[in-house]
Amino acid sequence: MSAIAIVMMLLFMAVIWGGLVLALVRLTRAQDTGAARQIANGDYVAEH
Amino acid sequence: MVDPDAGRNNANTFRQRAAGMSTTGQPPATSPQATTPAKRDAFSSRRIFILAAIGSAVGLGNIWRFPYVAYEGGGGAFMIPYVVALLCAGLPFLFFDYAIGHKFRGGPPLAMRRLHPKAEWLGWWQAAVCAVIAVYYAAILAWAARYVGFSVNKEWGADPETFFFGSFLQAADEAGVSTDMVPGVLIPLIAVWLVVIAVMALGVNKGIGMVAAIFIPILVVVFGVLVIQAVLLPGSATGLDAFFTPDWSALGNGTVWMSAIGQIFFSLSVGFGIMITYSSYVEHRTDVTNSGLVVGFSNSSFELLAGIGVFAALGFMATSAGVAVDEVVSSGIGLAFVAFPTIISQAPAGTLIGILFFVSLLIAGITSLVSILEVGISSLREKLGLGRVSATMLMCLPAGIASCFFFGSTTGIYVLDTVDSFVNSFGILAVALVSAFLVTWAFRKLPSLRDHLNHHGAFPVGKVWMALIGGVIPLALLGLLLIDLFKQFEEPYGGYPQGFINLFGWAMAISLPILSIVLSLLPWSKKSHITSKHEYPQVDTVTADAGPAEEAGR
Repeated sequence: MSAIAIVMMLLFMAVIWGGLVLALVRLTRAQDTGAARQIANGDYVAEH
Repeated sequence: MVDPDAGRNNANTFRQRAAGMSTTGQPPATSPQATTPAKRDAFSSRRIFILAAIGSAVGLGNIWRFPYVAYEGGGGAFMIPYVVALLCAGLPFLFFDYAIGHKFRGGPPLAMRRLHPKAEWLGWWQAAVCAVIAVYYAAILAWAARYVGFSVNKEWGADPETFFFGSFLQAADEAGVSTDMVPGVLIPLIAVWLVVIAVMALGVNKGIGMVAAIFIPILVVVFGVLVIQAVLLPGSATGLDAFFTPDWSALGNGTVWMSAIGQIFFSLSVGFGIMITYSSYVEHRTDVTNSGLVVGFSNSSFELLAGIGVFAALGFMATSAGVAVDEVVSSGIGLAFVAFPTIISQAPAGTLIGILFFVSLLIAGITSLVSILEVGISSLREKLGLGRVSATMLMCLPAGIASCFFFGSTTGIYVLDTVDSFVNSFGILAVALVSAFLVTWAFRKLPSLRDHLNHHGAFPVGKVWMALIGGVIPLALLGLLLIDLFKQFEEPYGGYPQGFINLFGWAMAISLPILSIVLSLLPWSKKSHITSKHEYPQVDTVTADAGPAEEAGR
């Protein structure tokens, strides 16, 4: 494989698979959003 | 696409709603507990929903379409239009579908009907497109199932092309409609339909969810082993070199950018009801936007893996034949059922490669087929107030019979080729274009969909997302549609007789929106709460989202 092909392959992998890893991290960190966040904080139960 | 302030705009609104107040500070017209809505099918967890959505997105197109499109689109340079298309078209439209399904909690017709009284036909159009796709998609799965067995003894011999079209499909000399059935195709086709009917009858969680939870990890492992095997073949580096070497001049070609959008669009299963249906089965607390990011990038990750595996194998094939890679490059049916058998015959451990490849096709196809069928089943179920099994039979039996009749015969390959081409262009692209345009400009619902996404997702969307959905994406889809339209007028698709094209191409494509309008005029079952005056059926036991309250306060 030529050097440019290897660079483009690694770049493609970094962007797409890196994007997947970042998305998974975001999803894991932001589990408690919207209604879930309110419920987790006790706001929803308290106000009802 | 990202508006950092958008997510904060609705904090007070949410608190009011959580307290049972409308956005105007008045008590809601209908409180969430005022009615006892019917329990709606649901995925048991966010993980199952994400796996099912990935299963839907990852299909045959990932394996046999992306590598060719990327190679033709400039190899390594294709990364730029591809990533731009993913971020500016694929993910925004995925969010659009998620917003409609998650907010209005129904299959496409019901969700659209709740979005606006005059939008129901759009939902039926999406469901009709899915029904047509399901009919021929099952046939390809039947072929893949047979080829798993053929791989063991490499039954195609020295000439896989003649074997596929002659011995296996027994294809007629001319396109038409034949009643000569081919048992070797018909029997596995019936088996495919029996399997998917059983899965669909089991329901959303025990059927679709279970299939995704079991098969997606298996697919990743099986395909991963296949890619490793392919990369270890002699000559694989030649193929990868051809695949990743950039042709920067391609970036100046508008067709390459359009093909990147087309690839992302078809590959992600957006715009024709699947993601609306799946997101309606997710509990309100689920983070829809971040889930969408995971689904979108998982789909692209699999495509990239497929590109590596396919071009490594094609590199081996070219090296073995002593020709350049561009002489062996193919896509679609030609890649799967002609090129790959050739590779399997020549490669060390070819039988293993064959089994892994066709099992991957089969798994990717089945998880996609169940998602396609679920659109029609949920639509019929809600419109007619049917039970799960009844709706499954009403959808799958006619589709299965049509599938066996048209694609179990000697002319099946021609019908499949034509229907696939026309339903992609004048079904999927057309309905997505019209839906995005009407929801934005006629029904003016984008702001409420944006608010819903920001309530139920940690990835905020704002003005950029609205501009993409209401302007950029419809224009891009219109461009793709016009390109396909001009191609059709230049010469009949595939060189088939004009009468055949008129019947299975134009008549099929034009009849779908007409049928949809007719279906939208039929009355709804009383079990379906079609307006926002009623509480939408909930899928979770604890929810603070009050669709009607939101409507009442607007």
